[in-house]
Amino acid sequence: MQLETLLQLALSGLAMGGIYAFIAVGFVTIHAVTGFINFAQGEFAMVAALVTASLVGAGVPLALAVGVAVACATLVGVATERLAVHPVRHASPLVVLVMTVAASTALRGIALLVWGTTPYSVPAFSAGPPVALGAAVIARQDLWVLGLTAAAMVGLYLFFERTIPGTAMRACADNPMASRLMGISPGTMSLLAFGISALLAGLAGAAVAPITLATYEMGLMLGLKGFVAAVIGGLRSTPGAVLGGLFLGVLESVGAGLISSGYKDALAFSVLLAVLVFRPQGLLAGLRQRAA
Amino acid sequence: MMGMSGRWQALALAAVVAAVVVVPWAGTGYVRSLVVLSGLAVVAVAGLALLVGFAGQLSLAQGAFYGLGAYGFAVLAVRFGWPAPLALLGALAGVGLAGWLVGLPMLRLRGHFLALGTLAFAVIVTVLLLELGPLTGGPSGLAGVPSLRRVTIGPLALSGEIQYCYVAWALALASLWLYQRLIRSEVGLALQAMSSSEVGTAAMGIDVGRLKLSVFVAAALLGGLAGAVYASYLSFISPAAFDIMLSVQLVVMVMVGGTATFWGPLLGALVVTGLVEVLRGVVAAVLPNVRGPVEIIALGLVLGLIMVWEPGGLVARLGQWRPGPRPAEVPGG
Repeated sequence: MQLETLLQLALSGLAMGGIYAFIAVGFVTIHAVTGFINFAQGEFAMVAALVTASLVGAGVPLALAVGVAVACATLVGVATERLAVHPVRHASPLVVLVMTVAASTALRGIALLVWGTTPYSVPAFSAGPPVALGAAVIARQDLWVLGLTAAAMVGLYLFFERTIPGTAMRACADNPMASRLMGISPGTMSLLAFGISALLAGLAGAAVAPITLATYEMGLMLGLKGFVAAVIGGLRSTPGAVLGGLFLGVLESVGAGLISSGYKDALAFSVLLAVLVFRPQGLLAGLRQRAA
Repeated sequence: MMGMSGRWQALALAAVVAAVVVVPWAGTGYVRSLVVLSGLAVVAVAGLALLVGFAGQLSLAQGAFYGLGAYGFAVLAVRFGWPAPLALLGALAGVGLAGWLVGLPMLRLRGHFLALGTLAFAVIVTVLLLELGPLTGGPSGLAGVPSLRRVTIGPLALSGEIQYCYVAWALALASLWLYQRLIRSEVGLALQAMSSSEVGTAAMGIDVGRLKLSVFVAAALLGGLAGAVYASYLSFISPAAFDIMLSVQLVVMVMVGGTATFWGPLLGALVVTGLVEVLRGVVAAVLPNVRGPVEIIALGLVLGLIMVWEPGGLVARLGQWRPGPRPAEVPGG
């Protein structure tokens, strides 16, 4: 295989990698603040993708549609925290995991009821031919995804480092007991963590819809891949999760090009198994920074 | 039902057995298919319940083992022309080996890592079933899986379907018996100790790793056995039947029933199978234009409500009910 082809495959994978990064950062944020794994993470992206598709179909301008869709996803995230996680927050993490499995299943069913099994298409955020980048080309929507990923990371950094709620969340992640004594409510922080994660997943859902189409069942795979990315990054570091996402996206794209696109998912999960078994601290443990 | 006296339990069990004997003759073809499928669900759920309830290990791979059993049997019989009994043994050996290979590294993982690790395995199995076309038939599935030989007992000629009802429930009751024996044995005690503290159990001289692995393989074998009978019953299988939702559904059955006694897997499998069927019927009647598995909404809600309302499952709730005085009025009751 030629080097150009390989480069092209890697470049195409980066955009999906950006999507996985969004979801992975959500996993890390919730896990850092609450210690739980939120299995419903991908469903938030699915909600945003389908709402965007419906609104655009109804003639709403794209920017407004995306805004409303992300707001809907955030609301669903907050509702999931209140209805599924909050009532069992004192139970074992396993019970909470089962609750989020339940929430994810119910959300998928509700989406099926509302939107049916048809895949919906969403127009790219800006029209036009792919942009040439040396010997390779990159689709405009892919550039949007990468730009949004970068913007979201800067935004998150500012939020966690420069604002009071962000600092409170970090405190809660570092030492829940001490932060409670300082007057930080773990319940509010958990709600905030779910809200932020759902917002990020919503952005990912709206941005991925033009690339993959929007369906009621897209959330399961997105969520699982996001989790794989988070584990590659060590599950505790936001930069690790972003790098994990990009790595997974490129790996899938190159793997699909070299072997067969049918094995793409198997490849991602083989990586997950390998990381979990041989290197549970994540592939990027050397680069680990303070948790989000 | 833990609290129920032995007499009531025996009566309830007799009622179950009587229903299994009578219903296939009285019911329609649809009812008979439900009897077979719920019986097979009991087998797979009993295996998973051991793992979840007593080893404290949540596996999302039970549906994958069910699928491996089905495909193992079908591929050996159809593609390689093995006689059915040999194909069944071969499939079980394969599933046991897969369970051992997967369990060996995976059981070092704790809590949600194990859940997601087993989920990863389940996704890989689904992909392989889809992609190994020459062997599995790919997305369009595999047809012509051999069925049981017809048996005639004196004047009674059992139809194929009734025969499957009896086979499925014989296996179901056998697995429940095994389940009850195991959780009341020393192994069961060790498993319970392990789910509260692995370190403590290991300190008592129990080989925690070997114990977990044995339970994992046993659970996989029961799942695979149910899958193989399923393939033979339907004579056609496709990968879509063994996706993640099957694993989730089996977990829901375990959680709904609870794991305290053998009644848990039995009730969980029956209640959830019944619920899903009723809902399918209601959805088809009320919303004829809706396609796809809408009943998963209820699956999610039921799972959520059970976890909040009674994490011990229906068995724990029913155990508080008994004929006669309330437990609170009976000292030491």
